Amino acid sequence: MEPELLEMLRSSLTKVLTERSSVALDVRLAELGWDDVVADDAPSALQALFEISGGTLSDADPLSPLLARSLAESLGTPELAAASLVLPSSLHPDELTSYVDGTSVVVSGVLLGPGPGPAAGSGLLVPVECGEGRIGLAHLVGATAADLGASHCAAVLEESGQHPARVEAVVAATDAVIFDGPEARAAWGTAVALGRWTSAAELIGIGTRVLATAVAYAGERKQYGRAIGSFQALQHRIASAHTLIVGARHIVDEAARRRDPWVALVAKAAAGRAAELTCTQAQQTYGAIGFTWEHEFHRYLRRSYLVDRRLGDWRTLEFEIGSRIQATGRAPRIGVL
Amino acid sequence: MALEFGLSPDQESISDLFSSFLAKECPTEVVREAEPLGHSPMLWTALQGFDAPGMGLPVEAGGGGAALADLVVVAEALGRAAAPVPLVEHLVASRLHPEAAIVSGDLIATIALHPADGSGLWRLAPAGAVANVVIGIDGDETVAVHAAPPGVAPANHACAPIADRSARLGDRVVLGPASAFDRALAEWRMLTASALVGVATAALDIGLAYVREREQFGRTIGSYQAIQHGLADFPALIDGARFLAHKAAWAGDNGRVGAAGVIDMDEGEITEHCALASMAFLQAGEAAAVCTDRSLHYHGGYGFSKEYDIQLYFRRARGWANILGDPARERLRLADMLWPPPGSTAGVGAGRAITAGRA
Amino acid sequence: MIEHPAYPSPTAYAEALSGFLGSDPRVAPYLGYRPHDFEGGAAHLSNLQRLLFDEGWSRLGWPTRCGGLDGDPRFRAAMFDALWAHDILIPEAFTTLEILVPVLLVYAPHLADALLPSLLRGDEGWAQAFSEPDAGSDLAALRTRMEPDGEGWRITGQKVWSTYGHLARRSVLLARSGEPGHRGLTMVLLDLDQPGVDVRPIRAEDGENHFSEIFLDGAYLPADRVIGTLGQGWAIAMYMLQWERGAWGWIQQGRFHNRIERALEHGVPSPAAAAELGRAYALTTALRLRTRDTVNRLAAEETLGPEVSIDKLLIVDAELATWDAIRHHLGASFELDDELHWLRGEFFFSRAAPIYGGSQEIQRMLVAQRVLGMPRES
Repeated sequence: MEPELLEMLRSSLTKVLTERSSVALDVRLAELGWDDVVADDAPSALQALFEISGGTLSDADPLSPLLARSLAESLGTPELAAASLVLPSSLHPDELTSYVDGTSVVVSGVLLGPGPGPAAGSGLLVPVECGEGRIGLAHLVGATAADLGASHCAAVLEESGQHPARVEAVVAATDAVIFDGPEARAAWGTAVALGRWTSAAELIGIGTRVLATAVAYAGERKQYGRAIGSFQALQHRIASAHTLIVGARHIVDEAARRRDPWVALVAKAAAGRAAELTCTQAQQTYGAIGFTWEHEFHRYLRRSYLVDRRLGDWRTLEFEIGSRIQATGRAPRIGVL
Repeated sequence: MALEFGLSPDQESISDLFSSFLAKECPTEVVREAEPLGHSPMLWTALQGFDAPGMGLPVEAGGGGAALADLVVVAEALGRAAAPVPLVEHLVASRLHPEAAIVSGDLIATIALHPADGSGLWRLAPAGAVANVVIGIDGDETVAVHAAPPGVAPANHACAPIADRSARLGDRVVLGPASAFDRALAEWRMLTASALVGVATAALDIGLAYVREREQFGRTIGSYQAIQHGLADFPALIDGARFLAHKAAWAGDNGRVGAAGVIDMDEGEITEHCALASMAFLQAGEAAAVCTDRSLHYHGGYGFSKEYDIQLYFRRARGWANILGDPARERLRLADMLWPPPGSTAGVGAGRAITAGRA
Repeated sequence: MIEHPAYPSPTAYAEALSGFLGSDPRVAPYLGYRPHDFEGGAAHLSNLQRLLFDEGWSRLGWPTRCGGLDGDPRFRAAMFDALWAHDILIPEAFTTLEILVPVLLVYAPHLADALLPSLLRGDEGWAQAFSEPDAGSDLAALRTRMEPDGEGWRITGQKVWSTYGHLARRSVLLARSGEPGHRGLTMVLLDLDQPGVDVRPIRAEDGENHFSEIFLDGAYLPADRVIGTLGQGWAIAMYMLQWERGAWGWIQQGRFHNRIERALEHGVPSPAAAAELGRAYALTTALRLRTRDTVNRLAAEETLGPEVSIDKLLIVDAELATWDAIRHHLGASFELDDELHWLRGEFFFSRAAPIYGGSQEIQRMLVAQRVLGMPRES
């Protein structure tokens, strides 16, 4: 995408993602001509959407619909596209927390909505373990979040713009359509890679915003008769955070171009670590004001924790990457000249 | 009651004695000349001159009657000088096997940190390359083996005179059951911790001197925040490790070993010698690694040249802390001691936990 | 970007080169080669440099006027990748070329035409001599001076940390020709094999002579050996830095990938080391993609600014993390396994990462002030 065009897109997206509206995000994006933009250059468009979503603490949820559509396309089942996705809540992203047990589907996971989201009545879509390590997808056709007793997490989390809800329920298997062939495993793998890449972009958005705010604050705040940003100790903190963000961003860009599960995994690990360490350095920069409710910082901190956890936090992912390198003896080179 | 964090008058005088001795007899030229083996027979002879090899034994056994509280001070002075003599190992070994020639230092003694393997070998015993007597575990027994040392060590960057030694070949004396060895291992950890505290202290001395003198951009680099903040972490790291080693010595001197000591994690009270020795060892390894790493960094390119002293300490900080094996395993072992897994008896006789891995 | 007629892309070139490296018997002595000392390694690898030149491989990416075969810098980067993929050590001289040749091409075309072909082929080695005992990070404090003598100049002073110095025939050098501060500096190319020059190797903490001190007592410099113009030395040094960051970073990421794989051929993988390994790999990947970008920008003849300090900081992060993870993975065999002497040597040299080529502190300051616009110290 041309830089000017991307800039225009970013400003439209900022408007859409931050406006208060009862209209679903999908619909508002559609008014923007979103489908054409995505068809034209999906990597740039999606990356911009998620970066801005993180950087503005948008309370819309672009991820669930994106992944539901991806699953629907992979499985060639269009009706799945409008379902709400229940993400696994486990620390380990490749271990699903929901499973099929004989005659029932045991659901345990997290709904990212229910801000303005997919049309009600399209059911819930749950990645499930189908025994013997097989990965499948259960479409709970008629179910709604409320039916399954979804409970919102602590209200304080909503300050981050996110509204995650826990779902713990048992549903009769007869009320579900279950996909459990190899194509379901592949579809879930594709969705996870997509989710990790876009979540990594969201983390970059958060980190970039937090860092910029800290740089601005350090330039204004004076102590000992000079701006605190002129002290070496603070400059070095900020520069090390910036280095991490820039480095992670290169991997996220590559993940956008490649859509490869391995690259998405590395991108999410790097972006999660960069965002967390950036928040740490920024908090130190703000001093006491950064600990107040009034200051925006804690909202970004909460958001970064939530996004980092999604589909695997950075520590878990680093372990995963290292384990795979140990198992194969190979450190694949990502990116060609 | 006032808390007293300084050294006692006895410790002060021992510290002064060894520091001035080492300043005279062990400048860093001596350390360099002793490389790569890491042993200076001349320095050892000089130590014999004032009865250092037997100082850890009671007077009635012909020794110097020093307490562990004194020996940690000695070990720290040795580390601070990077002294190329196996006095830490010898002091520990002599307390297990007070034979006259060992007490005098005519024979150098050491301990093997791991039980003999299936082929009867003690792998990589510290000071194994130069010791005439090695004490360690073979099967169910603690044994001492007299044999000629190989005089060479496998190449290692710390220039530590480690070597494989046989637990079977040579004059072999059974000293007791395997459990008799537990205290020796704890004492070795504690004294090595003190030596590493000495290494870290030397890194601080050297680093401070350098950043006060080196000028860039028209001012001493020690006036830059980045460097001040880096060095400001050293004292807390060093003191933490030193306090732990001294507390371990106190616990050992007062018989608080195994069941006679307290490990109460709910109250946060630990007075058990072996656990404290392990904590000191880990903390000192960390302190030495961080302090030598930063001090080397502040030297810029000079840190990497052999002419400057900081590299001597940088290499030893890593090597000495690794002779026992992977520090991660030592951490797990300590965790089992402090929070015994259900069904284990590790917490009761903490001393046993240290050798629990040998089966 | 300059494409090459024989190869549609650097990737196509790298594939062809890989075929050569994997099949030609003359390459065999270099596969998995581990030098026992710095000098022996340099001598052995200069034969490789000659082979790659004579077969044309290392000439791609350099202009024809200096002995190259044209094509942009991406071809050189592709060669480094292919060499590492075959576990072949990059000759130290290639690093020197990456830094010095672009400077000569721009600022001293007459020297480039005359001298570069034999440099590219490895018939002679060059060094770089900037730092002095009292001027490390603070380059503007250099004191080595050059004074007119007839048509030419006499140079007097002392240089330090000159990589390759004791093996080099000539050295690019910064000297003071005028006023104090950075405006009085001039860059020159000095012959080291002459009276008035005394080069002494410095033994590094891994026991090898990685660098040298150069003592200069009235060494003679002909007038045509000035690079650029008098007083332009600082500006040229800054131009040089962008090449140093990009190319060196790219070479290093290749090394880190390779060394992670080589280290895993020894020792027993442990879950305790997995996370550290994963982090090292992620940081190395960031470095690879960052320096790929930088190489691409250089290939497109963009002028790079202070953001190249980020490349250097990413090298530091990746280098330290990689070698820490390797040491952790290997456990006691890191210290004790005789066979791993070369890994230990590289580990110890890795500790210099936050120092060489401008310390981490200086790079962070540059990023804070020049990239992010934080205030200078008042």
